[in-house]
Amino acid sequence: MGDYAVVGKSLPRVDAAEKLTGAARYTADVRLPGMLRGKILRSPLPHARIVSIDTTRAERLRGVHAVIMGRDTAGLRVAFVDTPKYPADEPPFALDRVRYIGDEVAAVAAIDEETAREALSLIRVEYEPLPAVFTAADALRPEAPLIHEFDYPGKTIWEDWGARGRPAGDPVPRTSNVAARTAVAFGDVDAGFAAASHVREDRFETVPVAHAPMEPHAAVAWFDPSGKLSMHVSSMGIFYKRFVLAKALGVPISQVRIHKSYVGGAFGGKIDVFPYEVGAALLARKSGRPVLIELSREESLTATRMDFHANVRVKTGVDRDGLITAQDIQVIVDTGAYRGSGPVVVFLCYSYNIPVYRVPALRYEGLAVYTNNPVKGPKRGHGAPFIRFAVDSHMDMLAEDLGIDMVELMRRNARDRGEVMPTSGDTLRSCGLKDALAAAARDGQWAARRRRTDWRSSERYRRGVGMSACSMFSGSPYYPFGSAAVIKLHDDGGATLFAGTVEMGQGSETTLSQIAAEELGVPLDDIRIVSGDTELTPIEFGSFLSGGAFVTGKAVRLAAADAKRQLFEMAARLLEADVRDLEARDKRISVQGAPHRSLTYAEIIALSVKHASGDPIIGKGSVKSVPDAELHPSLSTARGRWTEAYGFAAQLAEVEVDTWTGTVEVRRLVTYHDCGFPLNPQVVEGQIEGCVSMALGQTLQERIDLRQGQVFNPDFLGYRLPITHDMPAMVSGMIHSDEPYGPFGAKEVGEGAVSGVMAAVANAVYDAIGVRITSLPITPAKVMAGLDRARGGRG
Amino acid sequence: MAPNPSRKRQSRRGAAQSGMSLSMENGIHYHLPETVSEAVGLLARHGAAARALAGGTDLVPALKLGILGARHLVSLRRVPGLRDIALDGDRDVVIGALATLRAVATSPLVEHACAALAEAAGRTGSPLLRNRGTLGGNVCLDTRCWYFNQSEAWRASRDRCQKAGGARCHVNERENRCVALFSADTPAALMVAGARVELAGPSGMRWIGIEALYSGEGRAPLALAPGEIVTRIRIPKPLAGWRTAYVKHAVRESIDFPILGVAAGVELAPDGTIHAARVAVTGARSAPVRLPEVENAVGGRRLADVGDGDLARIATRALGPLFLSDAVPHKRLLAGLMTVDALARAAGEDSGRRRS
Amino acid sequence: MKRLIQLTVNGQAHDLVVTPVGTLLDVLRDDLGLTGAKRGCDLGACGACTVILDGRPVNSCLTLAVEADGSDVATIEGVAAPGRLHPVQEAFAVHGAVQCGFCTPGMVLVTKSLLDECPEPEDRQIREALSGNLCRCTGYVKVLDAVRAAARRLRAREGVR
Repeated sequence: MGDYAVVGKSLPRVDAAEKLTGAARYTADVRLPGMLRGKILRSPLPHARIVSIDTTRAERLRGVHAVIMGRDTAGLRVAFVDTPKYPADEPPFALDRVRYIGDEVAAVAAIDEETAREALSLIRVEYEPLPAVFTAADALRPEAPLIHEFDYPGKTIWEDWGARGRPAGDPVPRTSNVAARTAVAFGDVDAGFAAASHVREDRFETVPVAHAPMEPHAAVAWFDPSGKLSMHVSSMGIFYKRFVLAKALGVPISQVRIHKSYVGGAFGGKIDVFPYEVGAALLARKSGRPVLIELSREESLTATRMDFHANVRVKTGVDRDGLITAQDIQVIVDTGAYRGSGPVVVFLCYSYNIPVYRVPALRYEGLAVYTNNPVKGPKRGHGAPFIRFAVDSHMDMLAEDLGIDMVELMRRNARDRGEVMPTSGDTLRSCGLKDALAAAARDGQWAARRRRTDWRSSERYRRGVGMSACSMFSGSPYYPFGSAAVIKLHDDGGATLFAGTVEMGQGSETTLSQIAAEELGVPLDDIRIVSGDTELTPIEFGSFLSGGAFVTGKAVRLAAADAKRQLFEMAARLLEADVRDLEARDKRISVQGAPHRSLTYAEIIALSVKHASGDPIIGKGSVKSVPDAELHPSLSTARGRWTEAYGFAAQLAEVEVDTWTGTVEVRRLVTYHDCGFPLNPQVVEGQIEGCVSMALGQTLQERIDLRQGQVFNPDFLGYRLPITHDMPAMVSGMIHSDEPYGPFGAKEVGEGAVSGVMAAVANAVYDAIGVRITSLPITPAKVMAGLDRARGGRG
Repeated sequence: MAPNPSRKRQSRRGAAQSGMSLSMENGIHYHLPETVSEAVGLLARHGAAARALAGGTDLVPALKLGILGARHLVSLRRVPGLRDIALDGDRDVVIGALATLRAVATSPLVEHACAALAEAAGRTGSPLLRNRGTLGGNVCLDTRCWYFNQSEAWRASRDRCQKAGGARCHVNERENRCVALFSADTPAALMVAGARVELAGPSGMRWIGIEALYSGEGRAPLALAPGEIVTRIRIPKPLAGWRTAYVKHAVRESIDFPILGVAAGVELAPDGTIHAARVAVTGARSAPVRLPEVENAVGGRRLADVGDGDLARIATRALGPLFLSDAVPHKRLLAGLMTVDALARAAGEDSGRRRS
Repeated sequence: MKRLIQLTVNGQAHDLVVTPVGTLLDVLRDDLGLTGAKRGCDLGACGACTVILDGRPVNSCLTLAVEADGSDVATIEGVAAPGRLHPVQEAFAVHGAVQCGFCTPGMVLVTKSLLDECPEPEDRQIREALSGNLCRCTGYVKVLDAVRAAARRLRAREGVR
């Protein structure tokens, strides 16, 4: 590992001062002259036919400037997945049918919130209720009502990028509520089970949880006189948003500009293009004025996206030494009223799981099923939390069956560097999984505490420890498939970095600036970054699939190297020396062995402008997320390259269970994350700590309380995010595995550490009280019921 | 699968997901009286259409959700003396209804008179809420329900519930009777303290025991005459050896309403014998409740002689059948164990039944 | 029925016309353009809208503007001196307590208020003081680090004087 001056250092974030003084502007903070407020009318019913909509009274209300509804977006369908196999299925505003409570029916723009609300109350909608289903199991029954009667194949947004389209034709009748299916098989599964000395099968369940970023979703839209659309949005990747919005609105990509906003947290929940964004644009077009739509917390929690309800069945065969001989996994998710990211999550439950343990033979099936529940989307880890909860709870049970220590069982099955992933061909060029396991076990005092009672405190309070591990991609082939960056050098030797990243808390402005500074050989203070604007920056991958630092960071490094090369070439010309004889130090280039023959960066840049046709020196770099991949991998077969590098983490939980109240307190959470190389250790720690906090919420207390398709806790009183008191002692360590393909050896860090917590805690609870909890969250009610069963009581 | 809905067509008026509801916002009146009698006069004049406004931490959410059911807000902030916490002579502590929960939680007078009250006030909501929220507001907190404390748009998915003026209770469908829960922390402690509340109304002032303030009805939990408000709360001077504690069980240690709160007070002899005890529970029913059977069971004995298990069983039995939700099916058991914990703390085991 | 109120915000007096149901948060964001206080939940359960009202941090989303008439309000925009961060802000920056930044104004105001009143808080007091301010990014670890560091820094500064 190199000796670096700027990367690898815990430097303060470049966006800190703006955020600390209230100056940082988020989308809902944008104020424009004449700006209207938009509000959305949503379905109160889970499934119904729309008989009629009457907006005339709303349109007549003084102060109302525009009203839109389904007929304004007729024929238009938008979706997270829009491929020939899975064509987009969500009309931004309902046409003839609503499919969940919260489905968009109409929208208004008015001079203020009050008027907009009053206008909504004047819209009359006549519904004819239809039978509804609220679980995947019910939706799969033959007699279940079809939630989507047709698929609408046609030109998908991916076609420009090489996806083969199905010719647009008549709608294709659907016969079931299966929204997507992934099936994978390799090795001889039957022989593997036959050869096993022990086989067990378990079932697990997770319920929907919310992303709940502190900033509710918002959008601002306006058209300039030339007809160009400008928007501020809550996003995670501005080029993806621009691409989908342009297609949805039927305007050329270059006629849409996303302007910079800070984003107040996203966690996967702000990738999609949402109806309120399309609505803001249409209302702006219709009214001729800027429109701000700020979703309420209730709307953000109920009608954007949430994590999946999942049922996981895992069957594993192991030999006498505990080595896996075969595995059979089925995942069924309730994807809600529209496909959302269902087709992706059933693919990822396979591909985020397979890098952890060596499995010689596997049968995997993932089903995403339509219901009349709210729509599901990617949330930090995107499937990994529930598949890892299932598989590592199951491993803990296997370990007990076999009488092998869990950490030892994990170690024996864990993958190593150099292994190749089945069906994708990805190679683990770096893999610190075993190192992470060992480090977490050491810091969590595994050997001293596991299966031991001597450190437990009392009859009422019992303690235990548990372990789990997980893995994550570092970017994937997904629109826009890569990132570019530009660096412009200034007269004084400073530089401006142009990168399309969205700063949503992950620290991308800081780490990318650090990369640029390191490569250029200047202090961080010399770098200014322009980000988050599709007009001012080159294309960028986006901060999802954990590709931000890995993909865009590499583009930035290449851009800085390009600028530096030009500096050296100009210096060679000016110093009349061979470029190979030059060296740079402290923003000065000199001839080796002749320090008096030198020029400062500032002098070189100034002279370059003066002498080289005004050349100011601009560096450019670009990189593909997965260079070998033509297009995204097949979601239904998992074939095709997935990623260039995998992050790994091992996580240990120490819990104390109050057997009187059933409350589980996590006392200590140890994470070792193989992030390749920490570009900014403080930022990396912050990502791990945030992952752990979010994961603990999901493990112990968070749950979208859905009953008959309605969210019963659509606010922060009922949807309980962790608070200061809830945080355990945390150890957040990093394993340096030095990823050869990553910038300075770096790879994924923002998502991995979310997925090992659930099983670690569940396994620790079992260690403490002998109660196996197989569904999340681990509530006091479940613990009490489990204790009751264990005591032989009614249960 | 949902039962096949009737194919009857339904016409719906739109509503926003949250924010001020329309019926509230249009033509709401704000009054700023300067005396109690002026305030009471306003409340009496507007009857059910008026609400007294103290800290607003519960009233403003109700206003935003459209469940306040009032068009006149009568602010009490200009009325003098309602924020005071003072000794009445050298005896009782008298607390103005507008004293903030923070002031109550940190007052040495309150701490001395009833530690459980300081503790309950200090565990109500979050520090931010306690800086605005008042003791009077907490004592008069409305009962809460999953089907009621929701936005207008949310509630549009089904018929109005009883508490919102409709005919049905969506929770207690069998009896069709509102079972909205009373979830304020401080009243349980006030019951244990034997507190009395001063009511001001159109026909003057009166003092009643705190228990008489509650009707037990989910729909209308306060037994107040029209136009009446709580103006002061009186904590009697504690007897020698009188000690109290409050135990709160909630999902989180801040922000949340209690799943259950148990306050206990014991008059303790030097040898640990409990001469007399009081126990009250909040979060279990539509009003805070005393548990006299528990009080009798520990009277004249030492806590250790009763035994945790027996005591818990007595408390559970005393609480009687509860309307239970899936989230806390073990609430009765929990109430029993928390009663043990609260009594243990009151009786001087600082950590209750937690290890030291 | 609208009312005229007077607010002193960050030392400057404002006369404002407000509706009876307008909140202090609405007035700050929409009438005064002070968007540092955020609308996170609008029901008092997240703390993103925190401002200091007459010396105490409160949820401005639950404070009716009419009820704040005559009050003194401090918002995040008034914490730093021109060109110089307050020691609490400085500590948040150095200790990595800022991620997405949406909860940050509230966190800073609560911390400042805590340390003004209690220069040597115990850990338990720090956690309690911040327990009404939600953060989804940091897991609070670095926020708590920053508060401890700010307390040390402020004490050192007092000591110098």
